[in-house]
Amino acid sequence: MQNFVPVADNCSYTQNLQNMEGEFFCLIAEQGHYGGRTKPTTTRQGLYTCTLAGELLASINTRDGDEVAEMMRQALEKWHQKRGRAVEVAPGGYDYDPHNGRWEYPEDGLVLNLYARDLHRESGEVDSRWNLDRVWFTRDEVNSLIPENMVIGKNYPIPRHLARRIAKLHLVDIVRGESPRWKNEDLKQVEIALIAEEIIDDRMVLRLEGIVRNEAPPILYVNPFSNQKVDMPRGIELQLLGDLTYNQTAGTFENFDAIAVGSRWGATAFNARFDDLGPAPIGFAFELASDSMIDRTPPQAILSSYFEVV
Amino acid sequence: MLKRENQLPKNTLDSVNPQGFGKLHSFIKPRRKELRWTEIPWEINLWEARQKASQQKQPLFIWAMNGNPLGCT
Repeated sequence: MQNFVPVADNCSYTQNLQNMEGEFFCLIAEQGHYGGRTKPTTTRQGLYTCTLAGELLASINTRDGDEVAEMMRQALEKWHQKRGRAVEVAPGGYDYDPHNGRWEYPEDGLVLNLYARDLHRESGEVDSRWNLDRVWFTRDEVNSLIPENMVIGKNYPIPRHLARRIAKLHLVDIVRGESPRWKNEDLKQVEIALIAEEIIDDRMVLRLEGIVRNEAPPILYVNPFSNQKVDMPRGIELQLLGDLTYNQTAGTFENFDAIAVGSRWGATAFNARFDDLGPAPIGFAFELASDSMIDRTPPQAILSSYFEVV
Repeated sequence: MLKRENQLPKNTLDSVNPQGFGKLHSFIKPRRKELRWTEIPWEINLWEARQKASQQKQPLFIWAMNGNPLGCT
């Protein structure tokens, strides 16, 4: 990879941008493996190598490492043949907002990594697939999580809209693939609370406890690749438990380890569960995110009225 | 498929308690080998990557997915 500048991109967003960034991606993608395709979908997912001018070197859509390596080898071979012509200066002076003002990283808020994975079945077996997402809270929202003068052992429900955000936008079966978020009416039981276990100087040790139960009727979407229809209800029922440490002076969490564990059932059009309708065990894990560029990736639902009170 | 890991109880829900919490949390989190892709110095913006490629005189490698490849896909 040291012979390339690697970039990760949400193409379902970029390919629809009406600016030079979107145009550049489409220029490359239309030369590639899905160029011109409109059925079963217009997706342009895949791996692309290209020159600065947008000339495709090679592309592929695969999870096979050997195939990717071969694609990269072919790309480099072409690159070296074109080198004199390929090293154009990239266009500059284009004043753009990469997110069109649609989101802002909560610099002084709370950012968590969220992982989703199947848990062991009764047979003892477990599938190895997993997925991840991010959870964002603004500064004001973090302040609202911690009541003043907390009493040891007392149960403090977190603000309703924050509990519902977690339940609606994050406790979703994404283990094997993307899945639509829940609707407000799907949230049947959402109870998340903090209990102060210990307060030492300015540090509060908190326990998080909760229950979430979401249920949705069949949405009848059809997967255009497999023609399978989502004609079954889906749901999730989870117990939440967490171990948190909050620094009152800094107003920040020093530790935020939590799990949501329980059962899931049903499928959605693209979450690859048609062969595994359940009910079956699932687990989610939360932890503090780092300040790395990767961990600054926005939540998948960031464009779905993420901070709206529901 | 993974084989059964002996350190987890058969009924996972039994371990949703402070004693089993740590094991479950560790199990759900990705293993080190599952995070190898994070060792690549991914740019997160196509336009800025193009500027960098110009400076370094290198081609681009674009990982494009529905959903952010560095997040939920």
